[in-house]
Amino acid sequence: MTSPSLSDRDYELISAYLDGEVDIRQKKAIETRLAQDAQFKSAYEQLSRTRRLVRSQPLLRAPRNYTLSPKMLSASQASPKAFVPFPLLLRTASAFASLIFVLLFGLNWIVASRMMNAAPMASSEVLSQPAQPALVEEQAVQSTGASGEEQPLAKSMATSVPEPKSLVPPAGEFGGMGEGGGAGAVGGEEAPLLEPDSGTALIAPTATLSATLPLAPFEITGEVDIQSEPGVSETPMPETPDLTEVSETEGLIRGWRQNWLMQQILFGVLAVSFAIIAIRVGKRKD
Amino acid sequence: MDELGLIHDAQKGDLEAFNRLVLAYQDAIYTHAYRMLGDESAADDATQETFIAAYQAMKTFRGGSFRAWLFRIVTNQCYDELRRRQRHPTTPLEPLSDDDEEVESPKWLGDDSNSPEEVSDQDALREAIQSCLNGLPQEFRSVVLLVDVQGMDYNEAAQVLKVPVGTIKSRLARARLRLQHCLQGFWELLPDKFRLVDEESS
Repeated sequence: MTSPSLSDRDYELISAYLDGEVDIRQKKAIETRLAQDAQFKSAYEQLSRTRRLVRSQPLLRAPRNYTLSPKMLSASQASPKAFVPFPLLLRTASAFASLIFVLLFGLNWIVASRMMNAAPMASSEVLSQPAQPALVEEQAVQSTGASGEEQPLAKSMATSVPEPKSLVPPAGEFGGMGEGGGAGAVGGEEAPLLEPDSGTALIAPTATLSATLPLAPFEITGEVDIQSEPGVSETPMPETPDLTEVSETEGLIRGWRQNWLMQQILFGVLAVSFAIIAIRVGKRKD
Repeated sequence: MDELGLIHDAQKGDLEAFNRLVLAYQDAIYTHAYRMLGDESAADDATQETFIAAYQAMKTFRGGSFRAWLFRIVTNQCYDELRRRQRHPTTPLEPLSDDDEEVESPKWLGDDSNSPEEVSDQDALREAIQSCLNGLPQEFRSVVLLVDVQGMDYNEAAQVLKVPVGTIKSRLARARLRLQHCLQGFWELLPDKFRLVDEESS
């Protein structure tokens, strides 16, 4: 029986001590402990007895001579070559198949995740398309203070305008929207870019914004300094009447994601099944 | 001729020199295979395969302990056989008695140069030890056999198994502890000299 107070390390030391495989320091420590610790001594004696019992077993005599003859050697050289290649081929093929699967799976995953990231933005763009984006874009391009660097900003704003007809909120509210909404990307200081010739710009939040902020169509009058309006984001926004189109698109995207997940799971199950079959076939051929 | 000369000649393809090495090592290799596999027929095959593989690989022997090199080959042969058994488990056939019942061990019917009781006790003890060895994980079993049966030191055993000496040390201690537990069940089979030691200690 093992002594509960002795650790694995103690038994290792005892075992090595029995074989003379300890250094002088360890030997002295063990001998001191053997003289003082009854449990340690008992464990030593039991292990010593087991060791002697195993060592008492004599070497067996070989039942025959195993000397080799040229005939045996030629036979042994011929036989393995007939059987070795197929399992090797199978294993190699399995390894390549696994590698290709992992690569394809990883690639698919990366592409799909990028698509999923892009999908909400794309859907919001699609939603904003019918709302006369060309008019606003044209207006932005024609604006008096527009420079080369400012045009992309104007375009991004233009694509985020779903409803040209809107109310006229205070200029500060527009600034608040711009700071709060990511898709609108109203980060530039030249907000008047969006002003049409008449001196007004029609701005509405994007579909993405609608998820976090209440929709509020705006009509901007005059120049608006977006960043110069502190605390405007806290101003309550008027609610939009209808979001059914947006929710339908989100539902579609969610459905597409679920489909994609199901496909991935299916691929995974198939791959694992094929791998198991390949391993079993390989083992049978061994 | 000494062992080094025989090895040198065998490396040049001298089958006669190699066969002299075979005769020198075959008992030890067979014993190791038998203790590892617990089966005479499998041990016989493993021993033969070991010497064939050794002859074919003689040119790769780069000096050092030839014994350790041979034991590495036979140990790997045994591991292969044990793995094959795990994949394709079989039931050994035991001889049937007159009443169509299986005789547990044909060794009971073996030659008895000593008195039947002595032979019976020795065989029972050997069976008990073999049974306990079979119950060990193969990594533990090989260490016990190399150190306690073949009398190798830790360094040589480490060479055979290609593991650090510290691993040999810990595996051996754990293997001996397991054997100790297992042999408790065969207490009455132990010869007097082993029983006396235990009675003194307890």
